[in-house]
Amino acid sequence: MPSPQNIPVALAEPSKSFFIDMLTKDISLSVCILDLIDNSIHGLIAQKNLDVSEHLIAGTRAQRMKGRIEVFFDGSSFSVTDDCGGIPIKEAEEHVFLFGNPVANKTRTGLGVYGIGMKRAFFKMGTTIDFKSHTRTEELRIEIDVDDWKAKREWNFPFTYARPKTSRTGGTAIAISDLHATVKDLFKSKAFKSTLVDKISRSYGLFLKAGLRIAVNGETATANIPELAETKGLRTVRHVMKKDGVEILILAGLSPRTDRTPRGWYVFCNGRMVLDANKDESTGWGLDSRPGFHYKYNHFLGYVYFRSHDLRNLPWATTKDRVDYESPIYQAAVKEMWVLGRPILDFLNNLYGDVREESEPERNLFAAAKAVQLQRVASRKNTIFEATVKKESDDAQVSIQYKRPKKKLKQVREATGRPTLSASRIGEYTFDWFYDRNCK
Amino acid sequence: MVEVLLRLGGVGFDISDYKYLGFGSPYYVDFVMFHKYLFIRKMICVEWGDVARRMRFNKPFKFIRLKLGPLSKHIPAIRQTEKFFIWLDYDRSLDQTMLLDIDGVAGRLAPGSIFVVTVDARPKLPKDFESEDLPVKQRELQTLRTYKEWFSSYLERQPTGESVSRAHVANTFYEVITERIRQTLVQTGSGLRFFQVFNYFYQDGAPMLTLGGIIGTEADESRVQGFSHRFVRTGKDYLTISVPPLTLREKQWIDRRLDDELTTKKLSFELDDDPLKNYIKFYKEYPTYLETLL
Repeated sequence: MPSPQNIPVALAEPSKSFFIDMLTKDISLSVCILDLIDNSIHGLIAQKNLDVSEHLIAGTRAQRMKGRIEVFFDGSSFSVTDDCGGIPIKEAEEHVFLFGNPVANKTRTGLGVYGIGMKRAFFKMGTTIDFKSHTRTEELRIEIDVDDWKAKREWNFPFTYARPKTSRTGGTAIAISDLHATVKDLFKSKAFKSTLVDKISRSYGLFLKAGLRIAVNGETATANIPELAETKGLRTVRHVMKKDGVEILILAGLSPRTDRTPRGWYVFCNGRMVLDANKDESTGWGLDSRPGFHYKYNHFLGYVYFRSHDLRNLPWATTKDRVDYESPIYQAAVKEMWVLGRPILDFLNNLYGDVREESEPERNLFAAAKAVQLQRVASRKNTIFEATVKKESDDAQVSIQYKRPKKKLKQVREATGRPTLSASRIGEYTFDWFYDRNCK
Repeated sequence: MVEVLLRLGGVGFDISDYKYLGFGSPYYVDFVMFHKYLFIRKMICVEWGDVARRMRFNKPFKFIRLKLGPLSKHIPAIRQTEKFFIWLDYDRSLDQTMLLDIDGVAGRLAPGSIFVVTVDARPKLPKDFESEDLPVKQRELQTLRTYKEWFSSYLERQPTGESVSRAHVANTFYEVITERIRQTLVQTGSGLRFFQVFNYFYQDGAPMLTLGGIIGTEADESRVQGFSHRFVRTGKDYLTISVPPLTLREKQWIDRRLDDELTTKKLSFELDDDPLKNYIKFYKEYPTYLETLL
């Protein structure tokens, strides 16, 4: 019988090339850039203990977020620089460069959860990476040649330097060069910058509103948070619930009549947008007997904010542009979103019903609604959707429209002996004729 | 149903403390019965139709709270802080709106609550889906297509012409409703389950299916398991309730002579064997309200 020492083992070591391919395969470039911005914001949250969604849920004003993140790119290089506090040497040594975060941080409502985003962004963009960071008391630099690293057996990145140095503030600068061909092409495209600024404006709306500055090639992003509409008799949903330690704030109602953008559900985790104007199954549209999104629901606007110190409990996928639909916390939230949102869809069904005249009261109510700031709705007690529609009295006038051949109209004129009778007058005349004989 | 609900009190479901929520009708029959026989005092009547004044006018007790508008508007107000007895007594065949109602209600009920659903057990699409002028065959095909789209995700097998036929659609509706409730309870992650108590099929003008039970914890399950009654149905085989239309005189005549020996031969009027047997089985549940010529 062979001794335990002689029992052979099957090798299962990862291949670095395969690992990199898999890691970067299904993620877009803009999502990778947002991952790097997440890292900067995460640093700021850790340093200043900031929590934008806590303030939104509590209805209090968020502490001013002093920080600046600059993104630059052209056809040959990419960089992201921040003054968000920097990374201590010990942190860089033990955590920041690990592939996968083995210890879940449960102390702050940060944005760094899986320990994968930054490295994935490096590999996605290019092969030469220069990572520099400094805190108030020390500085470090790590240079990575991805092709060299792939050829080595070790899974580590040596420091170029790591030493004490006094600074007034802390910050991080990442520069990536030797870009991949597809990345170069995208960076050269004029539309990429504006798309990215737009995405940042929506993804970090709460942070931007709290004072954080994010600029792309010199253009500063401004918060883009669609507003809900209210008026007397038209009240928006505000609901806070808790599930397994995660706080969930749901706001839902109608976007203003003047807002021409088709809305849907907006889902956030710790203040960072994960789903943008979602109209598909990720938020339950078309599932479990619910209606699919339809253009008549364009004015449906719902927000869901998940907040937790335990970042792994939040229902975000590793790319943070999708949700983990199967997560029990997310499932419970979707249930509540639809119970609270259904009366809004009922209102829109009535508003855009088949007979325009019948929906006049709904139209008047909607027309009177004005945009209100999200913060104002969020700071209330829990409310459900209320649309007080004043039904018209039976004496209200209703239009009747239909088409008939000219030939027949002519015959009616002849029969009545009034050759100049207009078509609408004939309609009234014939209606009254029927009414007098059958309904009086 | 009243007798079973009353006896559930014996195993810890004290129905008189529950809050009843039902649909409106100017007659308020269920409200009167549940107040008189189950002693329920907390009652909510949801009325969708544009008849607010009529509903207020006919309200038999002051304590009934009238809620106007569709049920969907009032589901968010159902709180897990109290036990409910909710009866969604629809007068139409199963559709997606009803499944949304069932989903919304089942997901919000406190443990120990009682949830009952009644539907018209005929394969019939809502008016805005069905084309009355289509030939019968085509209408059946349209119904099958629609039911496939609506119900497939709740059924073990895709609906077929047979499973949605008039003879079998009650079984299909049963499967869809129970699966909807099951899925809802899994999705809410509350650990609650549905313990079926009722599954009745009867003629109320149209064939109707009523199924219901308790939404509860494992502790509730053991209490329900220890409960038995001749009208309890915990599986897919329904209890068929079929009673003959009798005049008041006929009913009273039979009531005075009720025993196992009573056969149609002994009756002073014509009645077939099966209707008599059914009357003897359900005489206590036989409707006792009368139409009066004023």
